[in-house]
Amino acid sequence: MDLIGQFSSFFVILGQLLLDPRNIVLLMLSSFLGIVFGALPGLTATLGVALLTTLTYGMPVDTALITLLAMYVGAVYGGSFPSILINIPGTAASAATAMDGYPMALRGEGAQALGLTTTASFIGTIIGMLFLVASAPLIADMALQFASSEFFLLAFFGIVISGTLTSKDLVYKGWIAGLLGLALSTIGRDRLQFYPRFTEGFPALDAGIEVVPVLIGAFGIPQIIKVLRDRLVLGRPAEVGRILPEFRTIWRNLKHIVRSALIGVGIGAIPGVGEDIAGWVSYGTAKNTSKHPERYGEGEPAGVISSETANNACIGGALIPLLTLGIPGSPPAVMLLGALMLHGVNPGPMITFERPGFLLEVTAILLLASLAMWINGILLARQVVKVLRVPTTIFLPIIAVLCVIGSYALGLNIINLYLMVAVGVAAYFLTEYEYPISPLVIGVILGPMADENLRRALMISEGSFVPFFTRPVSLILIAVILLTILSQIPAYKRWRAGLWSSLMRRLGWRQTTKPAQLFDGGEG
Amino acid sequence: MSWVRPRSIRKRSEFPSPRRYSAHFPEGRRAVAISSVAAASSFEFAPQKHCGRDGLKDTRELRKGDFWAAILILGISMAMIAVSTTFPMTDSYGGVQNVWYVSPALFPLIVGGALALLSLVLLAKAVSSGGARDAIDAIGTLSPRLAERDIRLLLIVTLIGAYVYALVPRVDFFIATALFLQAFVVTFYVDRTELSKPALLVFFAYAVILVIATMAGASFTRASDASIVADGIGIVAFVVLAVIGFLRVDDDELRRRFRISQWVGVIVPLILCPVFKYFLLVPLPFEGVVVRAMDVVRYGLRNLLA
Repeated sequence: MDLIGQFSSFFVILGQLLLDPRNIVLLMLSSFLGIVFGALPGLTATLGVALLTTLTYGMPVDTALITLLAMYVGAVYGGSFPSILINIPGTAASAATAMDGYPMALRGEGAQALGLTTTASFIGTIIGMLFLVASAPLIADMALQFASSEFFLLAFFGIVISGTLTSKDLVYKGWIAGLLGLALSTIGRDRLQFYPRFTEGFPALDAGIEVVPVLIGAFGIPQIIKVLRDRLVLGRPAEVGRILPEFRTIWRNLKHIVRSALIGVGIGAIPGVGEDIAGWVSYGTAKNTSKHPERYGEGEPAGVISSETANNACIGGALIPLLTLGIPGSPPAVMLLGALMLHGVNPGPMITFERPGFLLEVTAILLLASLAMWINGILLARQVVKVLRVPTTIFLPIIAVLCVIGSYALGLNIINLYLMVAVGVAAYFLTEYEYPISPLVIGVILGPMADENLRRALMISEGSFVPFFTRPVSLILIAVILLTILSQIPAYKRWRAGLWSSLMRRLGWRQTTKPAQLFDGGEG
Repeated sequence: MSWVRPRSIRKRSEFPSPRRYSAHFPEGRRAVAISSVAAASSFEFAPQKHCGRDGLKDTRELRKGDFWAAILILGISMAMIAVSTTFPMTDSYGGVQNVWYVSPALFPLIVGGALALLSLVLLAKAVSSGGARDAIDAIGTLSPRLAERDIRLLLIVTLIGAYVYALVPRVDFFIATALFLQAFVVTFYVDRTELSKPALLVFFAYAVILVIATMAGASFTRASDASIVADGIGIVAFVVLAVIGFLRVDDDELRRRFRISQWVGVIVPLILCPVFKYFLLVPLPFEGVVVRAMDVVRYGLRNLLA
């Protein structure tokens, strides 16, 4: 389709979506719900999307996507409210916003900071959306050339990279988390031969582990435990005045917006690495490239703008691999993938054939979701601030009940409930010992893809691994996976550092920090 | 994931910036810029009992935990490999002659093998960093006294566990949820021993009785005698606890809090049950006397309106 054709069909889809008044009501409602969910500390975008999925089961696909994406965009933005007002981020995604947002609120500029985050989040989402619509068809076309071996390696790469980048302590804890997710995914009948694996004679386990209860457990229960365990008492948010869009300040900080949006999209597109890391990396970059880094942390508007633009731009980025390869780019995208599968949509390279126009539909919905977020943010911010006054000791037990009914509602299977609590408690102990949770859920959802494609690839080659090394894309993927793993091994790091310094000496250059070290082991 | 900051830290200066964060990474910890940034977004920022000043747990404490975790994961992976070897490898299953590369055992064996390898690496790290010695030394010195934080942790887990494993499959969802919320909110929101003690005692006693009754052969199916009795006991327990509570509260603020806790117990299931059952058409996990009463009201209303 040519560009003008694409453009016109985009507006046709947009118009069709807006013609149904139910869509508009659900859009505004779920966007507001998302903002509230993001604003309440302990409740994350992932949990919000997971719980809402259970309510969208009976809806048509486009309506379900409207509610889920509005929730996702709203929740990523909503986290900035408590960050700015009480210095406690509502979600990890807006943790970096607190660094400059809270000092601004202390100066009495809370409303201004909220206005900035609202408009910055809006622009961030839009830029992410533009990248999605521009790059997704290209990637989907390219992915059409992928064979089973590439899909196996892609799934494996997703787990390795997500484990590497989200692990806070030893890097292999991230990989262990990913492998535990893969191990969970093998429970149930295997999809090629229908052989029951690890079901131990329970027919309820035949269908395998469902991703919804795992996600609800892994992202809900640990939060409930941690917040209540530590007797967290939230500070009382200050009253905020009228919130304005702050277009002038935004215009002055245009370069921060563009750079942060690019960082957000890039990090979002990496499998399993989500909004929280995008926010911090963007904030760090803004600070390091600033002429006045000392102003950061003291209430610099550019700091607020950088983290909020990036975390929202991350959404579009996370949708790119989700829609084109079937690999979710962030933890909430894992849930979106689960929700799409429930509705009979199988994201992947075939999506442009199976559902022509689906990419444009998602883009249109993302545009509507960001508009709804912006309108809600400007008009209803004061109501959100009121929600922050509800004590955590009241809303968290209610969330526990929602987790229970939410994990039951989709499969109507009591085993899912038992699983949710078990996974939740295990996830709590894993996070206590610094194992990241996103590789685990990515593992659960990518496990079947890795398993099936590995065996299919070997079936085609009759047991030979040679095609893995002769196909260019799989060769590149193998190289990237090996480099990612090697770069975490001390012996390799020493060898490479030695190589670098001798190379530098020979060329007569002064050694400086390489951007590459961001990703593989240099002292940050 | 998100993180929160307990009240104990008030000054911003105690709040590590991403840059300071990476500067404090102890040796042996992966000090990658991006992961330090990720670490900064971790839930627990605040120095707590076992935490170093960078907000992560103390390295020694982590390595100590790693020792047990490595053994546990090694056990899981070994069990996984052992069970996988019983899957059809080259023999036939369902009339299909198998070959090793399409065997259902292939992927679990790879995952189990990789897990075993990584758990050995983790174990080696725990041994070389002294965490293993700490872990073994700590066995003899385990103190039976739990810190308040651990008690709260235990309470939350057992409350949710009892609700999901004992109450939800056996008692009317409305009653189970009301009792759970009553016990939970009274314990954590009202937070007074004289009120939370009876609430917790009754809740756990109820859960234990239900489990014992099941083991003794009682069948908790829809409208069975056992389930009607269980539902009745549940309703009585809720009302009695509410009455005892109101008799025990002495000041206005406490009365207000206790009143809120009881309302939460009633209103939340009163909204959730009809929303899921009648609007989303999701049957509730167990439909006992209250949900059936709701059905009567609902169909009565429908007939009236029709």
